[in-house]
Amino acid sequence: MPEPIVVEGRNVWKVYASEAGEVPALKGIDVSIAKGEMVAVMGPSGCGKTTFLNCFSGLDDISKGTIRIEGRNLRNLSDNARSEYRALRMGFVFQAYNLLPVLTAQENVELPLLVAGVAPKEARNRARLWLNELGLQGREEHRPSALSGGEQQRVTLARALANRPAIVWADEPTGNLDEENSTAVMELLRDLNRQHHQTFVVVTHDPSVAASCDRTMRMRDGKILAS
Amino acid sequence: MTGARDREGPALPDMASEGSRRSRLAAQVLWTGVVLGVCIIAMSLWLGTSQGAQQASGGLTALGWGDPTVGLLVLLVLIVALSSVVLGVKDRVIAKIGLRNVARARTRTVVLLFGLLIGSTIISSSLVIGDTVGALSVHFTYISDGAVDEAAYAPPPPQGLSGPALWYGPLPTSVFDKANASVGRTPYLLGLTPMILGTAGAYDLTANVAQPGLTMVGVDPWASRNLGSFTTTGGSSLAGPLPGEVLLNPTSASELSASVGDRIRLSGPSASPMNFTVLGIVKADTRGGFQDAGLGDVFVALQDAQNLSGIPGSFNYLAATNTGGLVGGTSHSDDVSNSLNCTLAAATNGAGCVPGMGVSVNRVLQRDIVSAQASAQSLTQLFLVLGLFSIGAGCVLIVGIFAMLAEERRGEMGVARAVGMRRGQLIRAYYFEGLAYSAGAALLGTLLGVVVGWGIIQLFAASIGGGGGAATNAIVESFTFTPQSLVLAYAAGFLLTLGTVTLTSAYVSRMNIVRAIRSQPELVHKTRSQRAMLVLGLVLVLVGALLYLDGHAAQTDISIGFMGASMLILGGGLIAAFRVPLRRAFSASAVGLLFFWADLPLRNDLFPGTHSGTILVFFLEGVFLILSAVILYVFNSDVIVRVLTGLSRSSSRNLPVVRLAFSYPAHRKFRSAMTISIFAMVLFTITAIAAIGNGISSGVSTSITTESGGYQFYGFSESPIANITSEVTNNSTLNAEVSTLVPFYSGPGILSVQGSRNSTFGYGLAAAPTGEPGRFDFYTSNHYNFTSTLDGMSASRVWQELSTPNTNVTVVDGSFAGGAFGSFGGGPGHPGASPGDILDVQQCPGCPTFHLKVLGVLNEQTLPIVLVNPELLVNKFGYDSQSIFLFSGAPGAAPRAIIQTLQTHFFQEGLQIYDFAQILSTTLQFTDAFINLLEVFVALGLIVGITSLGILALRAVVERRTQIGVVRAVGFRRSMVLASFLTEYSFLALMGIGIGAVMGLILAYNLNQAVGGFFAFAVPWENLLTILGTSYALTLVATGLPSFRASRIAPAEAIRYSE
Repeated sequence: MPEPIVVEGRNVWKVYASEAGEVPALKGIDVSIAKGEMVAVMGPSGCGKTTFLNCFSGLDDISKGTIRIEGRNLRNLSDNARSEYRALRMGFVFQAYNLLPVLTAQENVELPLLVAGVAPKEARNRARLWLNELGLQGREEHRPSALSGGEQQRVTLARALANRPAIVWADEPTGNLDEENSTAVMELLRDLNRQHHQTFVVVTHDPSVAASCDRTMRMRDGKILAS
Repeated sequence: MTGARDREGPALPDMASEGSRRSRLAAQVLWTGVVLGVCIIAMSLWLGTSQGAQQASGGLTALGWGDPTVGLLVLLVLIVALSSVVLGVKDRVIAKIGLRNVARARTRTVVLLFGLLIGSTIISSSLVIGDTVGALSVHFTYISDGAVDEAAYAPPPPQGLSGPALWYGPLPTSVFDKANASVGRTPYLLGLTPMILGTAGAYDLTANVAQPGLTMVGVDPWASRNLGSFTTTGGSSLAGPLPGEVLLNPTSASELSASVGDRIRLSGPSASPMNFTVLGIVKADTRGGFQDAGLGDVFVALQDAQNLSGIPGSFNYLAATNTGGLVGGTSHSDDVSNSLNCTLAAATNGAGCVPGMGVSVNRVLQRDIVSAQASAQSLTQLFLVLGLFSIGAGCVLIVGIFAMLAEERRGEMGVARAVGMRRGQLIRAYYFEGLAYSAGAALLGTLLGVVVGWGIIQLFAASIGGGGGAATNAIVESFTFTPQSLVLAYAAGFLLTLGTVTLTSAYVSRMNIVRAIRSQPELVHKTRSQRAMLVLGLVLVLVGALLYLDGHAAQTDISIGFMGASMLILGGGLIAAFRVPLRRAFSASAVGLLFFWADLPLRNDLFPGTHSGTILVFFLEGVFLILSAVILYVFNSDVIVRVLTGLSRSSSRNLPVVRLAFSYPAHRKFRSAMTISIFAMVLFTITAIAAIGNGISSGVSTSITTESGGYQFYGFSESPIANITSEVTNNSTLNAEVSTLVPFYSGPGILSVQGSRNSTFGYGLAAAPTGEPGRFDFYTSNHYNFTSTLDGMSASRVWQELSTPNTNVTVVDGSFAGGAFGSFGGGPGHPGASPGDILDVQQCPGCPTFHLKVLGVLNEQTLPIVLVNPELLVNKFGYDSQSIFLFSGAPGAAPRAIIQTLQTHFFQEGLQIYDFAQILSTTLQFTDAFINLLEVFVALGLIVGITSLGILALRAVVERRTQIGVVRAVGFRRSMVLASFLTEYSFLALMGIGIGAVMGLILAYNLNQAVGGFFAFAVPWENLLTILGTSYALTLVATGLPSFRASRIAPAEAIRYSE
């Protein structure tokens, strides 16, 4: 039986207004991603990969078209509803880790849990479990500036996964890591995808990262060329 | 699964350690301390700390172009300007970089200028207020002294309790004739005018209103030649009254309800009353306001004044008018008074150039102008000292702004250093940028200070005069400022700002190039930092010990000893930090400092004896109290944040907001500490002023109860009133107005306190009659209270003992108890006395001495009297007349009507009545107006606090853009971002407000303890809550917009953002 579609985009346009005029970043994209799929989005710089991720994750508004996530039309959701939806059903991994520098590793992981309404004690336990699972025992109380790049990316992963989201959006998750750490992180993502049957959308320009995904969507000039 | 192995290991092991983080923090705190210290020392030197307040005020506002302060500052500005030009020409690229940074972000430049201008504004407004008050005082001096540059007079005859009616001793007119003959030979002397000055009672027979205590000026019309003409309120000119005529000024006319043509009866010092016609009401200008003591002037012909005073053929005041006009005449005062001394010596049978007959020549106008200017200087100094906190807060803000700028530009500074720019060039680039900011801010600040000064003067005029009237107009019209003040304010503000900027630049330009390029925090070499702290600690301990010993041993300015003790405590902390963890060392040092400054008895124990002190102690106490609280916060903020976050755990919805909000202040301790200390300094001053003002106001309210003894009025008569009690009781009109009346037998005495080193002194003796009926019996009906009584006996027992015949006991007024601020009613001028002391009392030198034991010391000081048994005063001294009275009005009777009825009825005896409540009202009105004025002035510092938070918030929106995106990505709603920002700034503001308010109250309490209860200590809750509420509301206004902007940032845009 085929898996249900969790991410669906039809004729999605994103146009930025600039001093030079309107610049389309997404040009009528049609996408379908099934539950539990691990999809790589590849393409050269400036092709619209990050815009794709931002729009489909609800971080940014689209100019035209329809995006449905788990059947919900994102355009029909208010800003608050989208925030809540992100808190409950989505996780994010960024290239530059983007951990909050004033919080410890533990607190960074706890944050989305607390936002989602998990009780503080439960949030603490779950954050600790995830940090342990990702090999960060003993680093819980360290602030990001005291962690290495690999460690920071693992904290980011823990933060993204702690809430058991339906969809994890990863923007160049290995972009700042060396080869060995890249491989380790991708193996980790793959394992998690298989274990928890979560959908992963990974934006990358690294073929080896794309290779470890189920499917690769290639983008160029705001359009998806092949899937 | 097992986690991925990380080969990189911890990125920054040295950075990671809490110790290193704290070392960096300690270095930042120390550096700020150095900058603030330099700022304070510069201001203190300027104020002349070492030489005390008087010298300081003298050094501040002599304000001639040749004044050394102005000259030095202008010279320094010129040196800075020239050096900058040379530097700029030599290194054009660096100068361009610096100056271009100014134009880089215009909004930020505006905000920076706003933050930097406060120093100049405070200095400028203080000087403008000083100029205006000086002008106002000089204006009133000219009115009061008129065209009299010098005056010759002899001491008044011996005075009784009710005072003499003649102000000076009489001199025969032959003295004037002889002196006048030499006028033509005396250079710069325009003319001499004989006058009679004294007090007189006036009774308007037409309006049927009496008013004693008017200033009587006896002068002939020809005096207009020298003194100028009178101008009537209708605008016409009058030479002066002829015999049988009087001129009134608006005050005396109002007191008497008099109009032109009214018949007036005047009662002079000793002769029979005489009737006059009111010739005119004249303006209270330099002629019509001459020597007005408050109740108004009555001008009569010299001959009439002689008759009224019982000194025919005499005068008692010889007025000399110089050439050069009203303003220019004083420049000849030295020459004229020297000549006049010689002339009068010949006319009064003196020796050489020393006049006889007790006559002295006084340079009245010159003296009074100097005195008026000195008052203005004192006020300027008061405003400047109070403004020091705002200036100090401004210095901290400058450090903060430039530290923040440096942080923002760290990457580009690193690149600049990498491509070959030297550190010195980096400092110079900052210097040029700071130069532009300083020049602009000082200019704007100086001009803003004029506006602020104008506003404060308007406010004061409105508060004092109720929005109208002569006083208000005079204050408003006197608003002025001198070019010297503006130059001084600009130069001081410019140098202060530039100095702070340069010192800060030197600090922030130190960097590791690689770390700066990679935007990584600077590493602090822990050992080197500790060694620096040790050295600084040793220096502080050494200097502190020397100052402490100096302050302890000598009776010098107490602030030196206090500084020494504080340096010892701080130095001890720094030395301890070499071995003990920084947090413990600094916390212990801060607690020690807090105790030292908060615990007045401890300080008194450490510095026994009498020391001199200036208002600068107030400044030091504030600085060190706040410093200790901020150090405690800085090194313990983690604990505070943990506690506060823990309190929010009950609501998991709020927890992420609260956690995020508190994490930033806990992480960015230095920045937070600066904001907190800025707020604390400003709120400290406002709270202290509010508490002290409230204490003084309630002290005045309390003192009126204390002073009145339960009576409504007190009065003096110029001649005794026999049987006043029976007259009031038997007269139906008077009986309807008066419910209680206590007359006192009174007369002068010569006193000494046994065992006191001071010699004898003259003082008024008084006794209430015994056996009076109920409400007229002073001993059973008064409510006076005592500061102390013999063996703690009750008040009723003391009064009973005093009223018992043949008991050698006495009760003395409150001035005998002594006090830091002198007495309420009369000057002490005598040694103190306590219950149990023996007062030796004589009627005259060589007369029998009576030894009276002091039973109690009253609180009251309005009536300067020693109360004795009436039997002693009447039978032994023969003082059987009554000329001091206490009254209470009948219920429902209007006070003014009571006063007028009694004064009119006893006009012949010159009865003059004062209303205790009126005194209270006037005093309170002035006190409240002045305190409000000070509060408004110190509240200017809030600009610094608000600006600092505004800058912090604006900067945070830029700096945390990506982080805002991240929290939005993980589910933060816009409202949560807004709440998080507002909570963070509320925390900082409330922490600063709280520290400032608590420390301000501690200072007010200590001041109350130090001055022996001159004012009551009372927390001004209503006022305080208004101040705190307003401060917090302004915080929300300043941070609301940036916080709102932060919450509206689109998450995708924010994540993509790089600074």
